[in-house]
Amino acid sequence: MEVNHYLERIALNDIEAFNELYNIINNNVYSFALSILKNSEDAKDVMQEVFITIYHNAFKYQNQNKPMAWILTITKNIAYNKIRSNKKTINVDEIDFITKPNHDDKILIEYLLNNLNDDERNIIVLHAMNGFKFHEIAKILDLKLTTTLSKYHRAIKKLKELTKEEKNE
Amino acid sequence: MNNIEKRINKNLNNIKLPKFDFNNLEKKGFVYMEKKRKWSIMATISTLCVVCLLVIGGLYYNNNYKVTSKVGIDVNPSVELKINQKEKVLEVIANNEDGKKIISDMDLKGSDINVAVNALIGSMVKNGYITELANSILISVENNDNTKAETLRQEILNQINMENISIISQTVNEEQELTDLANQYNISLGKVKIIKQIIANNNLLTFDQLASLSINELNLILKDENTSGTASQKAYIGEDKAKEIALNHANVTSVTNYKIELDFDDVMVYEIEFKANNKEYDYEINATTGDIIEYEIDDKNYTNNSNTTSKITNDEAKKIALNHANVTNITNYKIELDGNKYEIEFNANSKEYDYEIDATTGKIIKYSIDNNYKEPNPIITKDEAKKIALNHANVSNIFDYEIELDDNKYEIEFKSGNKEYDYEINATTGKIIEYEIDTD
Repeated sequence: MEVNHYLERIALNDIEAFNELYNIINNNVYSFALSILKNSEDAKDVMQEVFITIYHNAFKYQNQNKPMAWILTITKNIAYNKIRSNKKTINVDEIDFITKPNHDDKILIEYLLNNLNDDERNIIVLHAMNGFKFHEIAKILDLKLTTTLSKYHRAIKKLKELTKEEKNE
Repeated sequence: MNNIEKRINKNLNNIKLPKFDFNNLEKKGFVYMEKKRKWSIMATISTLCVVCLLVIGGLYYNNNYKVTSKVGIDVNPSVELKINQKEKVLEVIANNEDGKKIISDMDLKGSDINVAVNALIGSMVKNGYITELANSILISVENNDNTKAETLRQEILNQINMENISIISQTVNEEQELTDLANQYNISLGKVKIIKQIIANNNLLTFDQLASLSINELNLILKDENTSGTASQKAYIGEDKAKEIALNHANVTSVTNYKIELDFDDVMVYEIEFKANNKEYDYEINATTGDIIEYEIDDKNYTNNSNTTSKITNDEAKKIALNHANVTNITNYKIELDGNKYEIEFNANSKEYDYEIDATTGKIIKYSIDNNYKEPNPIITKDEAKKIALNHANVSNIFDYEIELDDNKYEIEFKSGNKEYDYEINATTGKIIEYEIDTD
């Protein structure tokens, strides 16, 4: 995924490149926004704003070779400004899936969104969706590397246990 | 990636998302270039509507009196020019006291925008706001039509006839978020946009830190290739002097992999790194005073052979570090054995020391000294902080309680029932900065 290449073309007002980039990474941006906001509609709004910002700022982003980190930092900043409600849980049925996830997967997403705390959830989503290294995740989330690692391991452990319980029931 | 993450990835990528809403972009001034064929019918219709409205609206407004663009000029004086379609100045507004001084009794109404910009910049030079020590100007052009804003920006940039200055120029849109920040910090929209851009590049910096900096400083931190001219570094000791200070301190003469960069870390600093004698050196030097703020020396000769069982003790490692630092009275001492090395931290003489010591040989692998350490000044005691957290959590029977003072914040952890609590409390005000409650 040559995000850098797309940004170069977008900087030259190439609307096709913009559209292609949107189609490639919209799930990455949306998922992180959803992880922060726990609200599907708000996350879609944030995603729109993120891409508007990308369009207007692509020319300033010159070959810093971490384009996804740049884009997801923008996502974080916009999403943080949007947090309105201290909503505790989200109903997975609010989310519009292309193909209906199976029962286990639905439970997994439900756990991910509702049973992990904010940092844990953000770390898992950034790691699973973007394949970032932990020091990159730490930088995006403004956490210490050691904190990021321990929270990641705790989160994975929780998810494993929760899914195990599910199977035993 | 493990199995669980693969499933998360699969499912999050399986979420149906809407196509990008280009109508939404248009409201924000998105401009289509050359690709008109590709417009959707809806986009074409809505654009036609906008065009119709503009034409009808245009008939009602007198071209001469309607403000079509705004041009902001920031140095420290901050001035805004409102101009009409013919690029004549309708109004000149001073955004701060220095701005008033610059305008003084100049009457720029009715003059061409380029004449007005040059007159204002000339006045800034005459009044000592643009000097060889600080030569940066920020020009921000605002027009609902981004193409027009961009054309005007380039035109103004081309018409500024002044040498040895550095101009950052940009177009801005009056978005709610930017306007709110501009009002909150009492700075111009243009300056808000530049600061946001700096934070986007380096999210360790905060708006609070940057809002009070001058345009020249922001220009130096921004390092944008699109800026015309070079921002002056003459107010600082200069890269050569900074290099000399670092090399003298390290007591080396020939170095490799040398890098220097002017940056911001509470103050303007030179960040220098180089290698010599198979060690890596990092220095942070106050760019104004030449004081060494922080340095780190990393010995690359060290090889980790954790197989050896004979290790020096905690106390021996502590002695090695304290001897090297040449201090006796220390506070906030911490030691930890990580693999085959001791990591030691302490404060003394208003400095913060970090050491890594080989646990087999007792050799110092790496150390750093931060001269900028400020002793925390907690007004709230540990007990009070504990009370604040427990009151907030509304629990009394707790276990696994831990408290730590770090950066003038208390970090408190405890468990109660099946819940785990984390609090961060400001040690001066007692205010809860952050808390987290987790069910085990």
